Amino acid sequence: MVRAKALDQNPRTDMYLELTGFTSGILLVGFLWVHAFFVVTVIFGASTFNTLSRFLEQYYLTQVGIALVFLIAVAHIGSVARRIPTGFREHRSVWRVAGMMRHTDTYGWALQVVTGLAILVLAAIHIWVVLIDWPIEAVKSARRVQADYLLFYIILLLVAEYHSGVGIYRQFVKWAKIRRRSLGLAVGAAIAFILAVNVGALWALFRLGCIR
Amino acid sequence: MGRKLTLDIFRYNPSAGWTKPGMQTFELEETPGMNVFIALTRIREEHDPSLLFDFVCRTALCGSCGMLINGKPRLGCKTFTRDLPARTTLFPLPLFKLIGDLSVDTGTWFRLLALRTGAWLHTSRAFAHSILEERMDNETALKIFEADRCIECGCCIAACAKVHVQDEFIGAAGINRLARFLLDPRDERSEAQHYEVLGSEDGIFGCMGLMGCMDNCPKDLPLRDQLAYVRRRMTAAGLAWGGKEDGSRNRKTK
Ligand code: SF4
Ligand code: SF4
Repeated sequence: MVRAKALDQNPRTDMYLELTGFTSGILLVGFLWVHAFFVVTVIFGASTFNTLSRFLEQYYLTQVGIALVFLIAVAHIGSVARRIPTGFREHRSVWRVAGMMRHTDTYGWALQVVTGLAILVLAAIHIWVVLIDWPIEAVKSARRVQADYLLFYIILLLVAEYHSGVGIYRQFVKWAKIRRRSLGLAVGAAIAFILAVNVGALWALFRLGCIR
Repeated sequence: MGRKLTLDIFRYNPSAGWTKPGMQTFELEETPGMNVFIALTRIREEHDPSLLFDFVCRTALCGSCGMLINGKPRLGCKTFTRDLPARTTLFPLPLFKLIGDLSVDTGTWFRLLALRTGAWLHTSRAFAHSILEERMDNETALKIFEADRCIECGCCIAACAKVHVQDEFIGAAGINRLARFLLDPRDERSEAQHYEVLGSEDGIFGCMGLMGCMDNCPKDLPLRDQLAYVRRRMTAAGLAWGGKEDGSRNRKTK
């Protein structure tokens, strides 16, 4: 258990990493919410959606946004990656501990690793297909959702919301003084709400895709 | 007549020359008020005198009977068989050095923890038995006592996935132990000195908030509050830290 640490390591590194993981996580969840509210405008019709997307693009808000989110995501991955169990043996011991105690919170975290990696891959694909089909327009998105990507988006939505829900819950457990039960309920309700918004948006896009 | 209990117990005694670990099944009749301590004692008396397990106080104060009861870290003396199913599995606590069967050495782990974190009161005042003890206000004393209730049973360590993958992590018991000195006005260490011990991935910033510790602490210590308190306080200390004068790793014990 005792091992000499490098003497020249900046003693504040681990604290900064902790704060970066926390801040970037919160910002990314914030982005997911904003994103959901933007996309859901399609419920009010393709033109509402297009007006919004054109407005955002005109002032380079989309481009800047994508770049910012990319940077925040890099910071997030960089600061949380140290927590990912390295190698098969470590993964196995995490799942074993969770399994032997049948402990929900530990399971929740073990799944964070899986969902985090899934998001990494799926979100990259999502951004890629959006970028090659620039600019963002309701009909294009609708066609995409209707044609091949419905299942893809459902999976991305579920893993992203799961990851952000468990992440937020754990940050509050770590820093704040709210009872875990109430906290779990509050986070669950918020996630259910944002899921509903996203599902509504997907449904509207799918229908739009059917009509065109 | 009581229930018939079946206990599947992990057996391995390396010092007796055993080469292979395995499970052994024992059956016994449940008696009123039976706990795992009584059950194991009966097994040792009636079935197999070679069964190894630790008990000292039988009242959840010594912390020696931590073991995995149906996979969960529990104290044998505090776990009543009436709360268990008819078939129960007993394993020694993981992570600690196995002495044999259900007996593990938690002492070495906790001693190393104390040594490497300086987990004792650091004061320049010499002890004089002729003068009265310093007074402390009741609220502070109670807060310190809340952390001091830890019996070092090791359940929170065995329950922490983080310690399983990073054995230098001092775990909830370690952080809780140091929180006690953060609270103690008699301790003369500066925030920076506390930070040196706690402000790293092996200290508070290694904790991932999984709460395996709190959910399995047999003494119901408010571990989450302790962890959050230390985390907030050490973050503040780290942010305020000039970094130079205390940058050396030599802890001043004064
Ligand atoms: S904090 Fe609780 S579980 Fe951990 S060693 Fe102390 S008494 Fe045992
Ligand atoms: S909260 Fe989790 S990571 Fe932190 S000490 Fe407890 S079990 Fe370990």
